[in-house]
Amino acid sequence: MASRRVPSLAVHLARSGLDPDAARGLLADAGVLDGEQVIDPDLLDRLSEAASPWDALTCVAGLATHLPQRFREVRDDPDWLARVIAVGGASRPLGDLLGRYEDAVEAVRTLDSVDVEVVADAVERAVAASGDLEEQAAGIAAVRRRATADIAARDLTGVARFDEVAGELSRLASAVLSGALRGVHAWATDGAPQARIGVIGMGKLGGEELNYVSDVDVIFVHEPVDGAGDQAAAKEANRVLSRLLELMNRSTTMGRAYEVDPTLRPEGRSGALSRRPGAFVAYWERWAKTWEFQALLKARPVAGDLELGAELLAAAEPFVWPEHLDPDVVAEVRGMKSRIEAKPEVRREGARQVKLGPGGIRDIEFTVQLLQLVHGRGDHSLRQTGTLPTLGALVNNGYVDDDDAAVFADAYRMLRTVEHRLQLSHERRTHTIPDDPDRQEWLARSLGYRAEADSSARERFLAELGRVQGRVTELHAKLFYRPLLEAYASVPAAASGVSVPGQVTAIGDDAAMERLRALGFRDGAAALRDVRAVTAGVSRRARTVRAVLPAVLQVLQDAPDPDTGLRSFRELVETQGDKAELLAYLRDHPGAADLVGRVLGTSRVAGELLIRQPEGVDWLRDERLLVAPRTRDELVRRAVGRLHWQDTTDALRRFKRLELLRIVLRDLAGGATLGGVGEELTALGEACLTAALRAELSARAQASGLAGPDDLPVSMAVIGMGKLGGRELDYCSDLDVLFVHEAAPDAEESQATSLALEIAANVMRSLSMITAEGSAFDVDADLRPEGRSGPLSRTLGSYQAYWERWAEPWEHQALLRARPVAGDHDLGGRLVAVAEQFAYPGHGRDVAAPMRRMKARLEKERIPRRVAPEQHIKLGPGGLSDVEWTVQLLQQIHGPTHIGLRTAGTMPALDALQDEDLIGHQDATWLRDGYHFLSEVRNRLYLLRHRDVDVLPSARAELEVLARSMGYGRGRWQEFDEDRQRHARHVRQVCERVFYGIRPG
Amino acid sequence: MDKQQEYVLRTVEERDVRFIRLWFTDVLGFLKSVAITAAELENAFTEGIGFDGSSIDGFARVQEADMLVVPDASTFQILPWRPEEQGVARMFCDILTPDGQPFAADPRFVLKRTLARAADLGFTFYIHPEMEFFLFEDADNTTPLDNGSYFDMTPLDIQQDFRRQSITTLERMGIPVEFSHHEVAPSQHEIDLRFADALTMADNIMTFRLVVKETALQRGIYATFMPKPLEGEWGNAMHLHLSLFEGDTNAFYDPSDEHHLSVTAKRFIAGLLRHAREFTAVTNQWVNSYKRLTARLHGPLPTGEAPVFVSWGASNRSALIRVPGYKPRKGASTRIEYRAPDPVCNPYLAFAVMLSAGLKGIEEEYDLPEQSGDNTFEMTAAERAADGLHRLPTSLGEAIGLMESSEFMAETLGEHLFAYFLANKRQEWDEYSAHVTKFELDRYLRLL
Repeated sequence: MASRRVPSLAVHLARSGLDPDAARGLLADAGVLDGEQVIDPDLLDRLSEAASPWDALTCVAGLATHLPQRFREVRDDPDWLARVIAVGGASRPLGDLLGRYEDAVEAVRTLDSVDVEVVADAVERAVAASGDLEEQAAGIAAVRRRATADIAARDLTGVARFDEVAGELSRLASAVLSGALRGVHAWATDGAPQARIGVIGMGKLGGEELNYVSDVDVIFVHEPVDGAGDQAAAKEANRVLSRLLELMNRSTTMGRAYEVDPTLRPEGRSGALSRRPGAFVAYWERWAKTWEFQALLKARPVAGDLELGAELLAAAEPFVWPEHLDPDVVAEVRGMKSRIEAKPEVRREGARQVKLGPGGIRDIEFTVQLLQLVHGRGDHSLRQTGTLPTLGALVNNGYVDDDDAAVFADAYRMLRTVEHRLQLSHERRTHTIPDDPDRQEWLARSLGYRAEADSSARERFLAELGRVQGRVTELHAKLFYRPLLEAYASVPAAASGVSVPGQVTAIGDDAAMERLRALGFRDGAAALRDVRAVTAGVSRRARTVRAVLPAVLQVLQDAPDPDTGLRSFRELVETQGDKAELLAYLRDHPGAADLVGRVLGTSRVAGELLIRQPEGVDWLRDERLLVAPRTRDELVRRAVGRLHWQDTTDALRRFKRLELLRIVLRDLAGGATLGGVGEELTALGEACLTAALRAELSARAQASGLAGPDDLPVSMAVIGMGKLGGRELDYCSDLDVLFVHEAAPDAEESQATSLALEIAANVMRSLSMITAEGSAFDVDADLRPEGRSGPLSRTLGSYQAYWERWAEPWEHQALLRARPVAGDHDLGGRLVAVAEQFAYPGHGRDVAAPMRRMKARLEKERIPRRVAPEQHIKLGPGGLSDVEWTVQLLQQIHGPTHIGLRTAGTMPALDALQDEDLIGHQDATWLRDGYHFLSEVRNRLYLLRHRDVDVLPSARAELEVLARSMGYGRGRWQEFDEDRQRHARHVRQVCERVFYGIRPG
Repeated sequence: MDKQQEYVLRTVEERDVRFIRLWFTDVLGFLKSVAITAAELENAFTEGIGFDGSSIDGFARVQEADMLVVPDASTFQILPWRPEEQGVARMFCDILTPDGQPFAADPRFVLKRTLARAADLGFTFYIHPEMEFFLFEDADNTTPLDNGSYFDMTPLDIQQDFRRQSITTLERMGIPVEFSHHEVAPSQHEIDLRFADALTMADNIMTFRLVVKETALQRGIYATFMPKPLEGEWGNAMHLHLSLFEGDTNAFYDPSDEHHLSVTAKRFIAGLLRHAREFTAVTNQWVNSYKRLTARLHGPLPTGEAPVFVSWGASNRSALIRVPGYKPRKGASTRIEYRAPDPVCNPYLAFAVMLSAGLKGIEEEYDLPEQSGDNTFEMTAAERAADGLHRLPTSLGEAIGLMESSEFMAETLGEHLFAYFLANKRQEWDEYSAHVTKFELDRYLRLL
């Protein structure tokens, strides 16, 4: 005899998932225990297999207590028992039901699905059985819950799959509604009805995918019977339907039949409960909103006069599927989704919210519905109400890839099943997985997960759930892109990262266009042309583009200007020709693809520069180039180097454009500070001037048969003024210059001078002239003595004499920024030294008064009439010139005694003033911050290709784009505007006090 | 759709309300209304109702002035002076930009924003206002009712009846009243509203002003909140009793202090005192407001009715901030009384700036200066200077200047509203300054 150690009762019970002390009583009731002996081990084993052994035990014990005869029958039928235990263990309320009511436990006896006719009749009888509302409602609820237990039993024991379960639940609801309607209609009219009444199911009911505990959304329609009056019919319908709703929604001792929600009807709560088809049409024609038509996608006649229902839906078709899809519709639908997702409740619960959370049911339904909206106009096969059937139709006609659809469908089924289990548990409407680990364990078990060696059921379930949600998130964006890419491939190739459909799937033009609009492109047709152009063909390039495009499209969605970005991308690809390096690089480096998308979608200028100079694209591949700026010397070297093998004018233009592109890319990639951009642009300007001057001098030397430029009878220097002198060029600045020359010791004055004039003129022309390659820089020499009437170049002595005798105060002020930038450095230095005497005139000169008068005049006269002063970034109150002039005045006043102030740049001068305590700290900070802010605004306006970079846009849409390109979040343009106003107010306050000397008060 | 909105929708249906007035306030504190039908209500909750903001003072800032009005369901009230069968209701609203952001210059939002700051520090802000007003025969002259025999009823009866009717209407609109009585000047009345949180109270004050005016209209008389309509008589003040609560506890209460004031309360008071001169342009925003905030300091008998110096005191009637000297039975009623404002300020902005000043005092731990005695008016200028007693602005012009240079005010109100308010008030001051008054003609025409 094999001796086997019999485990103690307590251990045995614990292993079965039961609390040994608490369970004893119930186990005895259920005939499992007799004293300490386990007399029915089989039943105990089965109980331990339930999702919640305790709940299952309660149910079974209840059955044994209240319906002993039935209990014995159930005990003897293993399948029946299994179903009872499954339901009891998954749902306390239903377990309770089974334990007390014969009809209920009888209902789960067989594998037959719910007989809808029987249900409808039973409900009708429940209505007829009593005149009391409470009793009627309880009767209906009882019928409904019995049938639900039936469905749940087959669901939980794996006999019915999700699709069948959802379908049956829907048919059950229809049957209950039918029976109740019949009963109430008869009761209300004593058999002589005046109206035909139809019930249209919406939402999940319409889609035949109802939950266990859902809102049942309906719309009611009626029509007078032949010979009946309109009024009478309407009154009858109202009476019948009000009563119907009361019966359905009432909470009784037997539970509630359904929470029926009729508010999807026209005018919602304010509208009549039921209307005639004609009234619906009138409403749809005039007042209905987008979401109301979207809701009709799911409409299906479910009860009452089905013919009437069908008539209504036929009338609805042209509204739900209009001739032209309004692009705003898609945007609205997307907007609604984001609003729901942004709700705090949803946010808080995160991925535990299987309906609304990330990677949840809503993502799947939404994607399917959006595709349906977009393509269903042309393709009638898509006009289904259920999510899964629609998905199937989308696959059949090639809108969605097979494999992707399979992932979606499986995920949908899994998530819906999770939802079902959650709702069954307490028969409450919920979509959120509980936080509590024990409850999670229960949930996992109810889904069929069991613990294995290294992980609990709960852990395995959560891991799977995470995986599923991740795939849904990933997929639901890509579902839009993939067919677009496959569209024009004649033979699907195994491109990396893109799954290949089993058969050729080509979606039509309209479909693709609409899909692009759904993604935020304003002009779907143009966007489609662009996509088509870049992805067409079987070449390696085309394949690579198809691999890169989804990432780029994703980034473009969020960029300020997706349409231009896509256009630029296409042109960029086309300029690559057969070269695959860039595209391959983008494919392999998602960060770079991201950058390209961002750059192209933010700045037209960057796009144009990049396209025109495909070689500039190399910078996208070398991160070092984006991080470190190029020095002046380096730039000069490169500029000069180019001159050797290219015609000067073209060379300079190409050089400038290329370097400008690099600076712009650095700026947009976030690698440069504002000051950095200014310095780099200045260095670029200096390099161009240097190269142009050298080329000109060499050409002259050669033409005169001399050995080199040093043998020329004249030496020249270029002095930078304005922003160039200040090392703070922005993207749209001119190069303000002065030319100075000196005759060689043994040369003839007049010959030297005329040569110098020619050289100066040529240098200017070689940079400013517009050729086929555009122009390099606009060079402006109007700050010279006598302005435009004066000679382009002078000698030192000539400058000195003019400045001494005839210059106006503002001309002296301009000398604050003089700095040698090209040519003979010694000569330039000497001129600047002379200039300094006049820039810093010393005591005895009232510099303030003329400066103030000049500025006040500029403020009044130079702002174009159509522009509100507050909008002018340079000349308006609190604008850039307020900062510049305030600093310059202080420089002129204190410069004679404080050498440290003698610098050409505005910000360095301000720093020096602050260091020397010549300006208050707060004043300096306000000026500095305001200057930086407005300079950046100006630069951004340039990059956005704004027409007038000196004027702030006033239209909200433009402000929004500007704000976003400055780094403010979506919708934060008010914040941007407040910041700007604050900076302007601060700067103006300082300017009024410090520059104008206006005393407050 | 949240519970409150659903409740409103249900109520509208059950009580057969046909029209709903959506109320909001412009920068100067005037009540504006957009009317919708019951059918549009659901849409109003979910999407908002569009309107053109350029017609509203202070709203338009960019080319497109389209705004959205979104009703606050918690402020739903049926208007009791409309016939019950065809009910008309109202709700206060928030103003949003077309992309769904709160409009930065919406006064209600400015107050909400400031309340959120307080909430971050754990405080809620409660206010109990004393509202004063005059009743005159009509809007064209200041004949008090007390002096004429207007109806068969004695003038006193008319006025008592008036208060009774107003109070009934207010109570029917969910605004509880604490006291009411005849005030000092002829035909002047006071109605005190019971404590409420600041946002509700601001809404209540807007309603109150309308109710009083409507009630007067219905009785064929005229009610005015003008700060100083009658020379030589007391003007209309709006004394405000303020307190901060932390949950259910009054944050101003400290039983161990001689005035029962907690450290929080003292810092709050200090904040108000330090910034009072900067925000008086908002709490007293009209030229006429300063005719009340005056004192005759240089004549033989220095007098004044309203606070003129920035001071605080326990039983000091002339102080700007009065802390009641009686011992309250419970700590819950500890409050401070701010006495400068008049009833025609924009309540949202006034509460916002006062709260903001108080919070600044708390956050930056201002020190509370000594309390002042009862005789501020009788002190010499030197004595006042020695005590550090500054004067509140004596005119709108001065108040504007003080506000202009205040970073605190720009921060609290937001740049746009700040700039607009100042521009509007400068214009008003300009127009007033150009005006030749009767005083000048009476005094100078013969003399000069």
